[in-house]
This record gives sequence, C-alpha cells and structure tokens, in this order.
Amino acid sequence: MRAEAFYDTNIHALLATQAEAFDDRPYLRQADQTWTYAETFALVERLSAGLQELDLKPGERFAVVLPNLAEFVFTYFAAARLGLIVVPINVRRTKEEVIGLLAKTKPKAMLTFSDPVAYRGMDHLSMALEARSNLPDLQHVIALGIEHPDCLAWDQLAASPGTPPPARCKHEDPFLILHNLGNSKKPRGAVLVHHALVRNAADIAARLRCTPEDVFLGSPPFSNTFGFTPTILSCTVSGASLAVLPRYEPKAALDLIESAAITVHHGVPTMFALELHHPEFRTERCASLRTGIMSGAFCPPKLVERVRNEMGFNLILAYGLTEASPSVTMTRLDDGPITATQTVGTPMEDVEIKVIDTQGKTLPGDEEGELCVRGYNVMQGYWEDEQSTAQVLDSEGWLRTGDLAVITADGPVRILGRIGETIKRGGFGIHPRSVEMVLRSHPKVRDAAVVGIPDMIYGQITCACIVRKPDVHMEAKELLEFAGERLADYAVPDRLLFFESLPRVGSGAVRKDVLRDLARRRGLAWKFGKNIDTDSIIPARRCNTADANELAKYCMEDADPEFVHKMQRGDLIVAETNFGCGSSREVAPLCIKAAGISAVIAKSFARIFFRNAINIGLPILECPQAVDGIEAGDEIEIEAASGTIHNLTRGTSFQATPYPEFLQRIIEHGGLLHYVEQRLKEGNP
Amino acid sequence: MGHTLAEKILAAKCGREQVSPGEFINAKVDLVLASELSGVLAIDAFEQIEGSKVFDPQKIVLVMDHFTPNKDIKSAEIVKRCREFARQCGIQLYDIGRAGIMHILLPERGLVSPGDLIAGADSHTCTYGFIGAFGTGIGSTDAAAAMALGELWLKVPESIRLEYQGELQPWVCGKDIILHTIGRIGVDGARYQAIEMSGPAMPHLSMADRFTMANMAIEAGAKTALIPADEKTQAYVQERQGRPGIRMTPDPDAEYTQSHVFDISSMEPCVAVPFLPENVEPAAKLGDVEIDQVVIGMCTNGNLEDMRAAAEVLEGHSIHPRVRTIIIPGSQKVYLDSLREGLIEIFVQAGCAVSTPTCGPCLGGHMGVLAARERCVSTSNRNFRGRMGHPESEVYLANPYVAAASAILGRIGLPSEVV
Repeated sequence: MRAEAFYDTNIHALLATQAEAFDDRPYLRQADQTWTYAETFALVERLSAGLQELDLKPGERFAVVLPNLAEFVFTYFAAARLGLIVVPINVRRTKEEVIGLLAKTKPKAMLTFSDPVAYRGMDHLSMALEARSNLPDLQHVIALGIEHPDCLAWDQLAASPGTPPPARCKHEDPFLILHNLGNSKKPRGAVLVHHALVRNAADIAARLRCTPEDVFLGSPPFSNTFGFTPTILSCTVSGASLAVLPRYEPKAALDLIESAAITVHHGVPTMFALELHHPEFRTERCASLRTGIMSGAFCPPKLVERVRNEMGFNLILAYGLTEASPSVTMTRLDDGPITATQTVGTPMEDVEIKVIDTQGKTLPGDEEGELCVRGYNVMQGYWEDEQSTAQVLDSEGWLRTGDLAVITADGPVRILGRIGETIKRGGFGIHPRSVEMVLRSHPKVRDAAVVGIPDMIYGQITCACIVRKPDVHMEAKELLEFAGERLADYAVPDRLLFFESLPRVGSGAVRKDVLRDLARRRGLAWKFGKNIDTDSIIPARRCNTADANELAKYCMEDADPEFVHKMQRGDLIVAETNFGCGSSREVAPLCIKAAGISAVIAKSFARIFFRNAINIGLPILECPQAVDGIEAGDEIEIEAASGTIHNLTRGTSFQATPYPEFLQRIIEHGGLLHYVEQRLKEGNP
Repeated sequence: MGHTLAEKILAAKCGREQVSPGEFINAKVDLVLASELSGVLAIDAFEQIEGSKVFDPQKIVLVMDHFTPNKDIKSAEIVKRCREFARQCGIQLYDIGRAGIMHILLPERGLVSPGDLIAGADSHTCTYGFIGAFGTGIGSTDAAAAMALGELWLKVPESIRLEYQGELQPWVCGKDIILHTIGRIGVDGARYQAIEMSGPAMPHLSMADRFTMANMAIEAGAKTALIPADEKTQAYVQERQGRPGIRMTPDPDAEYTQSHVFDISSMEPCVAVPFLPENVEPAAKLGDVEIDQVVIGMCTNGNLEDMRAAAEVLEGHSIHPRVRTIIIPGSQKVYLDSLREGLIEIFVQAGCAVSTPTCGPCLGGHMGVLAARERCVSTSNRNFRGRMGHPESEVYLANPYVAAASAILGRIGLPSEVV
C-alpha cells in the first residue's frame, strides 16, 4: 500500500477503489457472517438506492445511533455516496444528550436500534420516535433489526432494487460532525471532511505497516474518530479485514482476538487494562497480535510495558483529537523503548505542531506549553458555532488543543495533561499525571486520578481519587506515605479518596470534571455535640486578625484542640442542634471554611451563624436525620444544591431542608457581595 | 389578624402594610453598626464590592470597643484600618476616651429610637429592643452589604411572647429575670424568633433592667427582643435628645408561637454556671464555689444603675484577698457619673481595679483574661468554654449585687450575707 495514493480522494471513492482491488477478500466479519469487499460495495450500492428514495440531499445531516455493527459501516459508506453529513452519536449518551445533539444538527434522517436490556433500560428507538415530535427536520427514523409501524426498516432499504444515483460527494466536502465536550461542558460538533479522514487513515496504516493480511479488531466505538479513522478507514485503505465487536467486554475482546486471529488491536488504555486483568487473559491467546494503537486517554508507561510484554505485540502510542481527524502524532514500530513507552511519537506527515505559552508565543523545544496543530487534518470548524471555533482555530489555521505538552529536542512529543488541569497549589504548579504515575506504581493501586479542587488558603489543593485492586486493604495513610517518599512535599495529595471505579468518557479519558465535583463533595465526618458556640469554633483571643490562614489554625480549638491536626481538607463537621450560637463573629464560618471543611451538617444552626455562612459561601445543611444517621469517621457525599446527603459508609441517604428561594438567589449570585454588586449595577440600591 | 411588634416594625421598614412570618424582605436600616473586629472584615468585604460607596455616612457608626485600648499590635492595626476607612467615608467612629461599649453608648447618645431597625455586626445588637427598636446581630459581610445598600435581608421572624408579672424582690434585677427566662426556654428556645417582652411588671422595671433583659435575648437564640416603648422609654429618649422615634404596640390579636408567663416576685438572685447561659441555679444553692476574679460592668450591666448596685454592696468592704475585681463602666459618661456620685472611690477603696470602657475580658480579649482552672463571677452575658481565657477556666454569670458580694466573700454568695 502506498499512502500517497489515498491523499486526495473521498470515502465513497475509497470503497469503490478497494472493492475493485480486493474483490472477494474478506472485509467485514460479524459473528458468523462475513462480507467481502465486493459484497460490501454491492450492499452499499443497494442501500444508497434505498436512501435515495427518501429524498436526502447532499449536505443534509444523517444521524446514526448504533453500536459497533457491520450495518453501521455500510451506512457510513452509503451516506458518503449520497453526500450526506453523518452525525454519529454514541449509544451510551443519555436521552437528553441525544436529543440535544439532534436539535443542534437538525438531521433529516436518523438510524437507530432498540436493545433496552443491553443498554440499561434505554430504548433508543422509542426515544427517537418521541424526539421526532419536537424535531420538525427529522423526517425519517430508520430502525435496524426491528419492525415498527412508524419507522422505515434498514433491511428493506438495504434490499432496494433501485439504481443508486451518481456519487455526490467531493473530496473537500464535510462528512462527519463529531461531538465532544469543550471546557464549557457544552457539546461542540467538529466538522471533518472526506479527504482529511481518508488521508489520516492512510498515514496511520502506513505507520502500522498494514497489509491485506491484517485483521483489525473493531473495538473502539465506530461513533468516534478512533473507531472511524484508524479502525474502519485504515482497515479499508489496507485492504485488510475488520472483525466487529458490537459491545465491548474484555472477555468478548479476548475471545475475538483468538477466534478471528486479530493482528491489529486498537484501544483506549482502559480496554487494555481490563483485558490484562481479566481472569481468562493468557498471553498465548493474543499470539496473533502484531500491532495496534493505544490512545484516547493518558497511557501510563507501566500499562504500555505490560501490554508490550504480556500481550506480546508492538504497541503504538498516538496523540489525536476529534478536531484533527484525529491523528496528530504517533510512535513508530521501530522506536526505541523510551520513545515507544513514554511519548506519543512524532507528527504525522504534513501535520505541523508547535507549543505556545499563555501569551501565544511559540516556545522552543523541551519547554512546556499548549500544543497546537496545523494541517490538512484540522476540522473545518465547529458546526454552527463560530464562537467556539474562534476560540480554538486561529486565522493561520492553528488549532489549539488544550493539551499541555513538550516537544522534546530530539522530536517525540510528551503529553503532560490538559491545560488548566495543572494544579496551582499555593504558588507551586503540579502536573496531575506525574502524581498519578507515582500513585499507580503502588502495588495495591489499580487506578488513580488526581484533580485540583478549590481551596480558600492554597487556591487549589490536590485530591487523589484511587481505585484499589480487588480484595486488598489499604488506608489512605499508607499510600500518602508512599507518595511522600517519591514526590516533592507540595505535590503529595492533600486529600485521598477511594472509589469503586473512576468515571470515564467513551474514549476512556477520566471525567475529571465529574471527579472534581465528586471530590469536592466527599469527606469524612467529624461529630460535635449541641450548642457549639462561636467561641468554641474560634475563640475571641484568636480574632485579632482578619487573615483566614491564621484563623484556620485554631478552627474548633476550644471544642477539640486536636481537630485541625486530625482532619483532612474536605472533611465535614456534623453537629447536633444550635450550631454556631453566641457571637456574631463571621470569622467562625470563615475559619471553618479556611480550615478546608467542605460543609457543616447540623440538626439546626444559630441564626447569625446561618446567615454568615450563606454570605461567605460555607455550605451548611440542616438535617436532623442525617446527623443521627452519621457516625464519626463515616464517608459522606453531599450535593449542596439539592441538599442531598449520602452516607457512603452506611449506604444511606438523607434530604436536608432546602434553602428558601431568596437565599438560593444569593447563592446563585455567588454570595451576598455579588448580589449587592448586581443590585448597584441595576441602579436599585 | 393582628401583628406583633416585630412584624409591625419590619413592615414599616420595607414600606408595606404588613408582613408575615417566614417572608424574606429587604428592609431599610436606620443604623449600621460595627466594632473594630467585625468592622475590619466588613471594610474588606465592602471594598470588594465593585462600585461601592456608603449609602449614608450619617447612618453608619463604628465603635472601637472590643480589643481597645489596643491590646496588641494586630489589634492596633485593625483599629487603624477602621479609623482610616471612617475618615475616608465621613463615618462617625467612636474612639478611646470619647466612647464606650457600643450598646451602652448608642442609646446614651440618642442614636437609637423606638421603631428603628438597627443592623449591628455584633450579636448583642438585640439590646436596642429595650427602647422598642428592632436591633439584630449580623455578620461582617452583611454589614458591608448594608453599608452599600442601606438595606438588610431578613426573614420575618415568628414571635414569642414573654409576660412578666409581679414585683422584684430586693437584690434581684433585670439580669435575674433574663437568666430565669433563658433557664426556662433554653439557649435555642427562641432561635430565629423575635422575643416580645411585656406584662404588668414592665412599667415598674427600670430602663437599666430592661436593657439587660433585651441584651441577653441572643443567649436564647433570638433574632431580636422587643419591649414596647412606654412613657419611661419616651422620657429616656427625650433626656438623651434622641429622635422621638415611633412608638408601636403589638395588636391584641397578634399571633405568637409560644407564650410564657413569669412571676418575677418569686425570682431570687441566680447564677448561670458553666458552660451555657441556660444552666441557671439560685445563687443561694451553689454551695462553696471559690472564685479568683470578679468582673462587673460591660455591656450587659454597664449602666450607671449597675454601678450603683455594685457600690451599694461594696461600700465599706474590702475585696477578698484571693480575688481580683475589675469594674468596667459601659461608657465614658457612666464613668464620669460614677465618679461624680463617688462610686469610683468606693470601688477603689474596696480594692477594685476600675477600667476604661471595653468589652475586653467578656470575650477573653484582655483586661482580665483567666488562667487554667481559674473561676470568675461576671456580670457579662456568656459563660462558654474558654470565653474569658483558658479553655479550662470558668465563668459564672450573675447580677452586680451578687458579683460584688462574691468579690467580698471569695466565693459565690449573696448580697444579704455582706450588707
């Protein structure tokens, strides 16, 4: 295969060319069924003819919500032939998310399926039909594998006897709108074009030295760029075959690797970790594997080494992003061990990269900054979102990735984390990944993620979220000591929380936003009795300063002199009735907040303490049942907005008295001072 | 349906016919008040508000009374900051030598009047209820907001009616009435609520007794305490050349969440033992509680009447050798009046130290901080753990007669034992 041959083409032309060249060679394999290149081409022709009947015009959107099925692949190619723009939507997205994406992209047709048993009760077809009533543009709902009076059947469309129209796509036409979350947490749809996707796939296949003998594992979701470009397209470009895996399970993956003699195995780090940890994993079962890409999330070097050694193949690391079709850099099969395990390699052919500082100035090699990409592979922009596009794409074509990276002097790129993920703790910058690496190297740790959470004193503190290996016992102290021996003192996590698993997006990246939010709301309970007065919280003898840091040292001093030494930042105070009685001193809630207490739960609060806490932003929850249902040392999670309190240790939940609407408004304004500012601005003092 | 005094004042302050308990309102304040401790934080907060300027410099008062005369460098810096802010904004700041403890000072200067809404960044702002003003304690951020807007957000409180009947026995005063009251309803018995004090005994109670009663309403958790203004109130205000204010009375059919009736004739001198003001015991029944210090005065019992009470017991006596006694008149005027009446001489002759007005020892700041395991009888309002110094020290709250008698006896005792 010569990659250059695919540098200027489109997705329809790609299949046509390959069908001619590889004719009766197997292309797709699903369970017991196999489709050759020629059969695939013929089926796509029929499907195109069938879709043609729906009066779909070039440039119109076509949404697909399907798991990894051969029919998904056929549909991609048929849509390409008709010049449609496909909006793939991951089957694991929630109903609200799917409806939001449909409302935004206004597809004329939508293909989906129904399998509520496999998808936690979510019936995608019913959802689509329900959504249709509010989506005037959505004229056709096509169902796969199920007959429904209000839908068209995919099988019938694919059996159309009609003649397909002439190919309607041009090389530079948009083909995909792929959504991901921006910093605003609002999905943005990257618009990717035909030739860029094919060329990127061809260059990836070249780096992997793919041949028609290769068998790709169809495990990454076909609805994202990892499942599309390096999987479906790279396979097609190579004339190789693709064994689809409809629903990823580590056991199913291992079985398919063995039964289909997979040679190319792509995956996000989590997939490889799950397979290695699976009881049925054996090195011999992976004997057919030759290569594959690990990407989509940070690739821990230890995991990379294990995959190379225990799965026994030449693993490639790559860096990409949806907005770049996706591949930006890759390692090479003959890279040395350091480059191969600790970097994401060198740029793809004709893709430029640079690293810039916060002012936008280009930095020399070996300096940390934001990675930027320019080249054929960069998206056209975000779908109907000029503002978001302008935030990431400059007039010279540079795409800001939001990733913190170093281009090493000898070429390969190291990814350090997300811009903004760097935790700024009291003047020190901490890269979460370097801390995560240390934590993961502990023999009892299965997974680790480090997030920064706001703190009154340090600005931000580090919180380590840990998943222990099954059936091992480990206290926070043990791991913190371990970290203390290997990290600078300021980088040792301030808090350590244990989780059953870490929340991740489809690509495998840890949802740090979710984790940060969880970490902010979780802590251990410290119990106090009734009528804790403000003198016990902070004695007047300590009040000759307004310095919160100083006040924090004496938090709860006269109720428990050891309290500030025993508590961890993020812990909670749980008290009986009339908490905070006595003096009006605002330093009482202030010192509690400054000490790092995340919330106070009490049966009742004294009046002035209550308003002071609201005014300065210390979360307080009034809930007698919770106080009775929490023992000292229990792990508590709170949702301050809704007033829900979960006792994670005992598996119980409680509902605190909600804040009155008036106070909600003050809270929503970000505290009393902002509320006053708003009032002054409105000229309404 | 009728309205309580609290509801009437708040309705007037938000320009409405009526308000009901539970409603949130923005009410116009007649005065914003802060000490140096709460003031410095309020100033910090105020300066954070973009485009802030004080709504009316005439209606903001800063009183330097907690850690003054400056007890240390940090306190000096705090007071300095308040002083600079006041000068810059044209706000009245009461400083050492020309001031006093805020709650004694403000009524004395005619700065609070019946029917006013006073927002004070000090919990004992409820004191002003003694002349029928709605005084309520707030935090520093609240004070900053009030300085900028001239308004305070409030939840209209439910009211509790406390009815006092009968006549006081000798050596019993307002302090005993309020301690008995807190002893009955508890330190959170009036949490979030307004206390309305009335009944046939009220006309006979002096303004100083009423002062002490309203002052300690916060010790039952109350948002405010209100004693409807009467002829005595009017005369008191006139004498001090204050604004006449608006005399309001609760409606006969006003709704109260609780009503309590107290027969003050049956009350005897009492003491609140550590560590809560609700732990009220008759002074006579305490047995032999040896003491190390006595403090008489401060805001709760710092009026001239209180000085007279102490002097009445101390005259011609010497303080017990083991005991230190500190007398703190509530203001420069109380100090001067005491001097003129010869009370100061009595105190000094008895072996007391007489201090300039300050909150100092009440909150363990200075001027009489306790060591571990020391015990003090104080006419102040709080006996929390560590309140007057070391966390292992103890404070017993009492009226000025009992405090003075205890100073002489070296243990908690009754005035009848020495006079």
